[in-house]
Amino acid sequence: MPVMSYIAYPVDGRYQEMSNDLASLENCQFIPAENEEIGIFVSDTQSAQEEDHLQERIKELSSIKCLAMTYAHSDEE
Amino acid sequence: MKVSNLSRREFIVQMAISSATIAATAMMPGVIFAGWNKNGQSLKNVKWGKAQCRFCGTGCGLKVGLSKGRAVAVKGDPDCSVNKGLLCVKGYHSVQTLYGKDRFKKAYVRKNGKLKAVSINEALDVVANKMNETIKKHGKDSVAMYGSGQWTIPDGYVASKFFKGCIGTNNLEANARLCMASAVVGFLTTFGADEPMGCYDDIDHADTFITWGNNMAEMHPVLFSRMLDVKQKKKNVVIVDFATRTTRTSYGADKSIIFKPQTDLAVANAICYELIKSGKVNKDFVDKHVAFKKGKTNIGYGLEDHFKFKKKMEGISFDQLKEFLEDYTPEKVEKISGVKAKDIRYMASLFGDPKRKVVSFWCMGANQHTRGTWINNLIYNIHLLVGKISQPGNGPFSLTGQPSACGTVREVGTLTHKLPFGVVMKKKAREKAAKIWNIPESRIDPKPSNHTMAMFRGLDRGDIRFMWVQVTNPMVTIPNLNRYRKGAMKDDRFIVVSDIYPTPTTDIADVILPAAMWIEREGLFGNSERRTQHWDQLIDPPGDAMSDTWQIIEVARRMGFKKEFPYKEKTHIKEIWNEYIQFHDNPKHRMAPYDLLREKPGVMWPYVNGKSTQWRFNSKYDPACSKDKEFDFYGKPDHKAWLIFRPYEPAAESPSKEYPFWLNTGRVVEHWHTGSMTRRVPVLHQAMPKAYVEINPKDAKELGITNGDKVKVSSKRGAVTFVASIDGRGRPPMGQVFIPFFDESYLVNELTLDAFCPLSKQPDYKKCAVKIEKA
Repeated sequence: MPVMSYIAYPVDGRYQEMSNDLASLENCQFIPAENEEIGIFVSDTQSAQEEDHLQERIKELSSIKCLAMTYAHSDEE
Repeated sequence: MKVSNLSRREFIVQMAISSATIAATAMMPGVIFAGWNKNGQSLKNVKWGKAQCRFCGTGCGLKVGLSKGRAVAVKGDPDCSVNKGLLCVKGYHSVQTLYGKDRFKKAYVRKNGKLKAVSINEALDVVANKMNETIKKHGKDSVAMYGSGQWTIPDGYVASKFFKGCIGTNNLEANARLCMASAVVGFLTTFGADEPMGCYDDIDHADTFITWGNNMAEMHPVLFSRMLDVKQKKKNVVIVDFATRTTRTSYGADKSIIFKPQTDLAVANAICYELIKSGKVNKDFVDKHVAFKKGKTNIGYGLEDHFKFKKKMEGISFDQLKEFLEDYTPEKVEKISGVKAKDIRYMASLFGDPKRKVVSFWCMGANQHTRGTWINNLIYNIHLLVGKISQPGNGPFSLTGQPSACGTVREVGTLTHKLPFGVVMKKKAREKAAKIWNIPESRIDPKPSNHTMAMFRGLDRGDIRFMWVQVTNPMVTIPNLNRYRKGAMKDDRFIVVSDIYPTPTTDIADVILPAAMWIEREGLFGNSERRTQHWDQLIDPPGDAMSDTWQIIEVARRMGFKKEFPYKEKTHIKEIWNEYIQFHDNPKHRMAPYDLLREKPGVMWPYVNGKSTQWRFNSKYDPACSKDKEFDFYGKPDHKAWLIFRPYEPAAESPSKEYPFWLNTGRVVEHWHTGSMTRRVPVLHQAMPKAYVEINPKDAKELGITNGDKVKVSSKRGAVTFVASIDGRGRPPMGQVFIPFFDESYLVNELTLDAFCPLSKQPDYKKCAVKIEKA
C-alpha cells in the first residue's frame, strides 16, 4: 500500500494541462501551488501492482516535465 | 501512533504532502499551497479544535485535528486573518512535536549527583523549600526566574505576581530580552508606547517592502508568502532585501543589497540625508507630528560585569539634524558600508516617492545589535521624515521572534524593570499593581535588579544562587556560553528547569519539572500585530506533566502565598485573564474579554467599543487619539513622535589579523530556536539534520575547504568544529561566515560575544570575530 509524494513540474506552457492530467488519476491528489507553476502530487495506491500501473500511466503524460519524489511509504516493507 | 487504520493512512498521506511542501519551499521561497487545507477536511473521525501556532511571532491560526485523545493533524485556519489558511513547515508539523519518545512524563530531582524520578508533588516541595532556604540565607535577590516569549500570558502573569508581588524581587527576566528588547526600547524612545502601530493587513495595502537584515522567507515564511502573493496580484510591487548575506529572502526579492555588519546605522542615516537633500521630506507631517532629539553617543558595549548606563536625551532643531547628517552622504557611507551610493539613493527614492506605500520589516538583524535601539530609531526616522507611518500600507513593522514575546513579555512585563502596567520605578505603577494583586505596595521593589546577561553573570559570581528556567534553553542560547555554563554548574547553585524534553539546560538541572505543552493546557499568546489569541486545552498532558502556570501557583502556595493565588484549577486561566486585563483598562491598551477570545481566532488591542484597532496613532482608526488632528502620537507627553539622531558606531568586536572573519548566527526554516522540539520531528530533522558553517566560495577556495569538509571555527571564547556549507542555504560575502544555532551538538554560542545594546541590554548574536581552518 504505497504512499508517495512528488513535486510536479510542467512542460513550459502546459501547467493547466498537467494539473488536469494529474488530478484525474485515480487514488491520487494534486495540490496546485497558488503562486508558482508547480504542484504537489500524492499517490495513495492499494498495492504494488496498482502502483506499477499508475507509474505506467504517469509516463504517458506528456504535460509533465519532471516529478521529483519527496516521500515514499509502503506498509509492505 | 495508536489510531484507526483509516486515520493512520490519512495521517501518512498528510506526512507525504508535508514532505513535498518542505521540499518545494526549499526550492521556491514563498510558494503557497493553500489547497492543502481542503485535504484536512476529508479526515474522518477527527474533531477540529482552534489553536495558534506555538512557534514564531507571526501567530498563525491553526485547526488541530483530534482523534482518540491525540492530536493527529493540523491545517491552517482560513478564518484567521493572520495566515488566511496558510502555514509553514513548522506549523504543519507542530502536533508531532508533542509526541517525541523521550518526553518528560515524571519530575526529576538530583540526588547524590544523579537525577532520580520523583512525584511531581515531591519535586514542587523541593523547589519551594529550596527557594525559601536560599532567600533566608542569601536574601530575596538571590533567587531568579528566567522565562520565555513562549510562555503563555498566564504563565508570565503569575510569574510576575509571584516574583515581584510576593517574593519582592525584580529578578524576573525572559528570553525575549535576547530577541525583542531593542524593539521595545526603540518604540519607547521614539513613540513612548511599545509594539507596532500597524498590522499584517499592511502587506495587502503596500507596494514597497524593505526587509532590514531580516530573512523573512525562513523566519516568517507565512508573512513572506503574503508579500509574494501581493507582488503577483499587483503591478509595481518592489521588495528590497537589505542584509549582510544572501538568503532565500534575497532570491524572492527584486533587489538584494548587501551591507557590512553594523553599517546599517550609517546607511539609514544616508537615506535620511538623501530624503532631505532631494526635498522629499513630508514637511506638513513633520511640522505637526515630529520632535527632533539627540541622545548620548560612545555608549559602550556592556561587556564588563556591573556595566551601568544612564540615558540622556536633548532636543535639537531640524537644521541641527541636517548638520549631523552631513557625515552621511551616500558617497561617504558607501566607503563605510560597502553599499553603492546609487543603491542608497534608490532606497531613498522608494521611501520618498509619494505614490509608493512602504512597509519596513525587521527582526533579529536589527534587534540583536549592540546599537539595536539605535537602528530601530533610525528606521522610524526614515518613515517619519516622509510621513509614511500609521496608515494602511505605510509603516515600520518590527516583527517579533516568538509566539508571545509581545503578549507575555512586553505586555505582562516579565522583565526586571516592568510591571503589567508601567515600570517598577514609578510609584503609580507599583500602587496599581499592589491594588490589583491585593498586596502592600512596599513589597514591590522600586529598583530593577538584573537584566538577562546581568542575571547569568550574577549566577556565575554567586549573587544569584537559585534560578528557575521555564520554556527556554539558555545552555544553548546564552552568548559566551562557556562562562555562563560553568557559572550555572558551580557548587551551591540550584537550577530548576520546566521543560518537555531533555536539553543541555535540563542536563545541568537540580530539579526537572515536566511541563504540559501548548494544547495540553489552556492558554493565550500575543503576536507581533497586538493580537491576543486563546486556545482551550485540547488534549491531556502525558504523565505528571503540569502547565507552567500551575507549577508556579503550586510553588507560590507552598511558600505561603495562598491568598495571592486563590484560583481554581478548572477556571484559573479565565480568572487570571480577568485579573490581568484590569492593568490595561484604558483606550490605549484595552484587551478583549475572555469569552470573545475563546470564540475568535484572535483580537487586536486596543479593543474599544467592540472593535479591534488596526492602526494606532491615526485618529481615523485609533479611539485613543485626539480627534482634532489626523495623527496623535499620544505615547509622548508632547504628543509627537521623536526623531532621534543616532550616529554610526563600530561593533563591539570586529575582524582582526588573528580572527579575520565576521560570525553571524541565526535560524533556519525547519527548526524552532534550539531545535529541542523540531529536531524530534523526523521530517524536519531529516530536512535539516545538523548545523553547518556557511562560507563564501572564494574564501573556501583560498582556504582549501570544499563542501562537507570539517571546519574549525574559533573565537577568543572557544572553538567548535562544523561541516562546511558552500552555496547551500545562503551565501555570506567574503570575510563573513554564518552558523545556525538550532543544533545542541554544535554550540555556536560558545563562540559568540556577550556584548549588548546599552539601552535595551539585548546581546548581539550577529557580530563577533572568528577564524576558520580546515579541521
